[in-house]
Amino acid sequence: MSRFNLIDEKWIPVRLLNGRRDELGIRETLLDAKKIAAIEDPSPLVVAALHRFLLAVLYRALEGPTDFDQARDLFRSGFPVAKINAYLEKWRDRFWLFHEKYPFGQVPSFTPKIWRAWTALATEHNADNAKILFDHVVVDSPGSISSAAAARWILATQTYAVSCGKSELAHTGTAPSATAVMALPLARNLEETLIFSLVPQNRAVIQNDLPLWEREPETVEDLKKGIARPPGGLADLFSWRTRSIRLKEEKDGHVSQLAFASGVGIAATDYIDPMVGYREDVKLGRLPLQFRERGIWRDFDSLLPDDSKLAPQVIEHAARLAKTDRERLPRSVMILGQANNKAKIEFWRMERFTLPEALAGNRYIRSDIRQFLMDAEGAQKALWQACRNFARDLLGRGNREPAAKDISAFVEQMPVSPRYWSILETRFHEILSEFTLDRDPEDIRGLWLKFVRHALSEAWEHQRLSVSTGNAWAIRALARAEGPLSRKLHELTNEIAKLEPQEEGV
Amino acid sequence: MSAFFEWLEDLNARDRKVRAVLRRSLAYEPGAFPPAYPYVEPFLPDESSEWRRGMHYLAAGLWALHWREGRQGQPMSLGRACAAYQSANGSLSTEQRFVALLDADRDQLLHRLRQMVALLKDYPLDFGSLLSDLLAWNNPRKPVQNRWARDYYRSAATNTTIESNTQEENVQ
Repeated sequence: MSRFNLIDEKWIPVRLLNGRRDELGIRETLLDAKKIAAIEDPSPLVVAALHRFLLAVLYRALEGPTDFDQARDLFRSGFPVAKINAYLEKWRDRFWLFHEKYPFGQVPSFTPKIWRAWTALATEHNADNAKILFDHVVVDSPGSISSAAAARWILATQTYAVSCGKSELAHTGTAPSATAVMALPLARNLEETLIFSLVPQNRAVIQNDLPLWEREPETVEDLKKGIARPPGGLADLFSWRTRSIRLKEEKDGHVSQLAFASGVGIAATDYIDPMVGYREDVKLGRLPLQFRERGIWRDFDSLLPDDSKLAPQVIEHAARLAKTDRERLPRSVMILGQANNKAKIEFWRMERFTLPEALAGNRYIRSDIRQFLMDAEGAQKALWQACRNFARDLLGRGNREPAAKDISAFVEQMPVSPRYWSILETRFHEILSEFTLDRDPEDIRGLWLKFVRHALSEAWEHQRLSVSTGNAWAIRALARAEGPLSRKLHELTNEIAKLEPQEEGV
Repeated sequence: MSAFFEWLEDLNARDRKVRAVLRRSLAYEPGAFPPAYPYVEPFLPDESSEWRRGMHYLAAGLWALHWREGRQGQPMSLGRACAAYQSANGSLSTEQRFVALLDADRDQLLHRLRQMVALLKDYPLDFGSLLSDLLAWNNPRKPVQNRWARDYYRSAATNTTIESNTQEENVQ
C-alpha cells in the first residue's frame, strides 16, 4: 500500500530560471536546484517549511557541512549529486506519503476518536477550532486536497502549529520557532539559496542529528504521556514532529479527513534556530524576534550581523561565504512567519528586502541601519506630539483639558503616523540598495534624512489638507499643533546640511 | 492692493472728512452708505462682484477707524498684531475673539473685524494684505483663515518663549 513517494512525485512548487512554473519531487528539486529560481507557494508558511525540510535532507545527505571550509567548498562546487542520490535511495522507504509502517510525517498507529477536516493542517483555512475571515471553506464539508498539497501542509503545520490547549493525546505545544521571524537569504538560484542557509554544525552533532523520517514513529502511548526531548541538531529541529497526524487516504489519492493531535514537545530553551534573529531581554535572556503589528522593516537592524551574534545565523553565514566571491552575495532576504496572540493567529506574512551589498565588506552596517531607524523614530515622535496637540486642542476647544484616553483614542484613529511609516517604508527599501561597498555612509545618511524629512512633511500636509477646511477650532488646533513639527523639520534640515559634502574654499 | 489705500491716503491728505465718512459707513452694510461712494467707487469702475465691492468698503472703513496721525512701525498682519496685543495685555478673551473671527461669515465679518481692529489701534496694520485676504475669504479651502491662524499661533508661541526666557533670566 505504498503510494506517493515524495522523492519522485511532483509536490514542491518551484519557479524555474526560465520563468516556467512546475512541481517537482525532492530528487529533481535538489539535483536541478541550479535551474530553479525559487520555491513559490501562495502560503508563506509552506515556503518556509519547504526550505527547512530541504535543508534537513541536505544536512543528512551531505553529512555536513561540519565547518566553514566544508561550507566554502560546497559554495564553490555545488551539490554533490552522488551523495544526494545515495541518501535518497537509502531512505526511499521513509518518503512514502501513504505507507503502512512509515507514512511520511505521520503517526501510523494513531486512530483518533474523531476524524477532522484536512483544514486543521492549514493556518490559512477555517478549522473546527479556528475561523478565518474571507475563507469560504466549510468545515463540515471541506472537500479534499491532493496528496501533494497534503504533503506541503504537513510540513507547514509541523513548522508553524501554535499551542491550542488539550488535544486527544496530550497538551498541544507550540512548534519550535512557530512565532519567530524567519529569515532566508535568497540567491541567484535555489542551490545557492540552500547552500547559504546550510550553517555548519559540529561533526559530533551531525552524526546524531536524526530528522523525522530517520526516526521510528513515536507510539500513541508515548505521545499520550506528552513526551518532550531536546532537539538533536538542525535536521531534527527543521523536521520536528509538533503534531501527530495521520492522513485518511481516499480512493482517488485525495485527502479530506485526518487524525490530528499533539506531538512531541521541545525540552530545551538554549537551542538556536539559524533562521531566527534574537534579542537580549534584561529579565528573560535571549528571545526570538517576533512579528509585531508594525512592519518588520522597523526592526530590520536586528537581522543584520554584528558582534552580539544575535542576527539570524543564515544571514551571517551567507555574508561570510560571499566574502570569497562578492558577485554571489544573496540579492535579497525573505522574511517569513506569523504573529499570534494566545493561540489565535493574527496574520502571516512574507516580505522581501534587498540585502545591502556592503554586508560582504568588513564593516558592520547594522549600527548604521539602527541609526537610520532611530532617526525615523525620532521624527515620528515630533509627528506624534503634533497629533497629540491637535487632538487635545480640537477636543478641548481651548477651554478644558480633555481626558487622556480621549486624546489617545483620537490620535489612534488619525491616519498621519501610518501614512508617515508607509511613505518611509518604500524609501527604506531604496536605501538598502544604496549600501554598496564604495559608498560613503555619511552620504547615505544624508539621503535617508531627506527621505525622513519628506515623509514627515508629506504625512502632515495630508492631515493639514483634510482639516484646514474645518471650523475655526480645527484650524486653531492645526496651527497650534505645528510647533514641534516645524522644530523637527528645522533640525533635520540642519543635520542634512552638516552631512552635505562641503565645498572646498577657494 | 495697497494702491487702494494709497488712493485713500491721498484723498485723506486733501480732505479730512474722508475718514469721518468712512468710519461712519461701518454702521451700515458694506456699500450701503451713499456718502462713502465718492471715495470708493472711483477706484472700482468696472467691478461687478458684490463681494469684492463690499470688501473694499469694509476695508476702507476699517482703515479709517484705525488711522492715526504719524503712525510708525512696520505694518503687520492681523494675526501677528492680535498675538502681540494678547501678549502685551494678557487678555484671555483675545484668542476667543480671534477664533470667532476665523469662523465669521459675511454677516458676522463686519462686526467682528471692527471690534478686533478697534482693539489693535496701537499696532500698525497691513491693510493691503487685509483687503486681499478679505477678497479670498470665501475660498472653500480656507487658505486665508489657515494663514491667519498660523500667523497668530506662531507669533503667540514666539512671544511666550521670549517671555518665559525673560522670566527664567529674572529668576537667575
